[in-house]
Amino acid sequence: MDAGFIGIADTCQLLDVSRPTLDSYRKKYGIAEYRKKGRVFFKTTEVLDKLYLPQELVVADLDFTANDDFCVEDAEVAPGVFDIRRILTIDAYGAICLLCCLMGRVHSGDHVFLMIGRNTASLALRGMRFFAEANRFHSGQVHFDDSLLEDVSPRQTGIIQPLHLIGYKGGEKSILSEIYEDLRKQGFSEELCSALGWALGELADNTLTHAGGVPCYFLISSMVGRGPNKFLMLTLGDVGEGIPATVKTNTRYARLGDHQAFVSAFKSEVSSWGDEHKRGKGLNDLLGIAKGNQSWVRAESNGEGILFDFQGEASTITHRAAGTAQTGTRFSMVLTDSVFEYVPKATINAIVDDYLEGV
Amino acid sequence: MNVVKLNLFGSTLTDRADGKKALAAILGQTSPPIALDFAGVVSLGSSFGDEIIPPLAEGQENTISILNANSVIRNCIRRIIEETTITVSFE
Repeated sequence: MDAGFIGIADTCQLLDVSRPTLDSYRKKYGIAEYRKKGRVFFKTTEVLDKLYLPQELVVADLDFTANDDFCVEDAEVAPGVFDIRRILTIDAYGAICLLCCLMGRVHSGDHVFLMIGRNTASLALRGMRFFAEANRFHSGQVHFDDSLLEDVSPRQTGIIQPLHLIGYKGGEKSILSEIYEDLRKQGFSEELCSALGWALGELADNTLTHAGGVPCYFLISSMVGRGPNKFLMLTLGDVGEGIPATVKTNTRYARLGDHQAFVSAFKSEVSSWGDEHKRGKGLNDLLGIAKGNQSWVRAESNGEGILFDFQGEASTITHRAAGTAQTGTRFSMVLTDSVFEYVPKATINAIVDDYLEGV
Repeated sequence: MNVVKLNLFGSTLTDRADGKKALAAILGQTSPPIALDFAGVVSLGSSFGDEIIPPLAEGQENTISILNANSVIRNCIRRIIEETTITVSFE
């Protein structure tokens, strides 16, 4: 039996009940048993769903969205057990933080159990192909009962590109051509497609160059906003070494604190590479696109979180909580289909410097 | 003026290594003065652009003509030539 199954003694210990009590629960809740070499086992997810924390006792009170300060580990109701039913709302940023958290656990050799249901968050995650990707990156270590959702359409309004893995440099290009076509059909402008491709290209290149060669996931969702404009949210995440750690490999920045190193990386010319290489433009470009578009970027790396808000005429940088304790980097960026103005690198550098002076 | 159609390299021009390959292909087939035509190109990334625009401009008196670039691609090119003496004419 693999880790997706649990024996009688372990089940009694998990539930803190005696053997007779467990037998009565088995009959009452119809827990299926599986036999191997004369021993009885149960599906761990079924025990968790029906006995450990039944649906009727779950209170959905967690908001995992880019607008909130959250930590996906708050949904971990027991070591390695994540209760998706406790999530009230989740968007692409929350989903990528949760996925990266699970990937980190799997990479550490742990088993992870997801308690899912027919709640809004489980359905939203299914629409983003979250469970399919969780299965794909290590089905032997991630356990959940997806039969609960198998009659639900995987298509979800608002998801333009479900979770997609970029495993090599330039890997985003082939799918971008399809995405541009979809966006045009939905009435998005050529400029929005252009900004999307630029931003995704810089972020993916940054990850695959600096994050230790790990792949990254991205997804694209549409958003509802005020006024006639259309909005997109580009979200990307990895479980690499993280920006503070990589920036500090450059001896010039080695003495910076993690938060300073993370935010400094958005200045042009700040990079893990030596100054002679003239690198470090990608993240500055990202903020240049966002400021020129009067939009915002939420980012986190190695426990350091930040919000760059350029809505209206604002240029505000705010410290935010990291969405997961997992190392690596996550971004969400909103693109508004309206203005796409040129913003020089020096403008972004000055905004970042102003913030860093106050840190 | 020799016009190079950049959509031969794809509709999304990102990634530094691909920029280097594109420059080698351009210089292998065409001689200066060269103008870059972005018709059919949706996105340009500064890593890719860094590898072709400054080297081409430097070989033709620090000037380069850019054709059919959308406004976001123009923004990217303006960022690439910041802190250089390169003059870009958008047509």
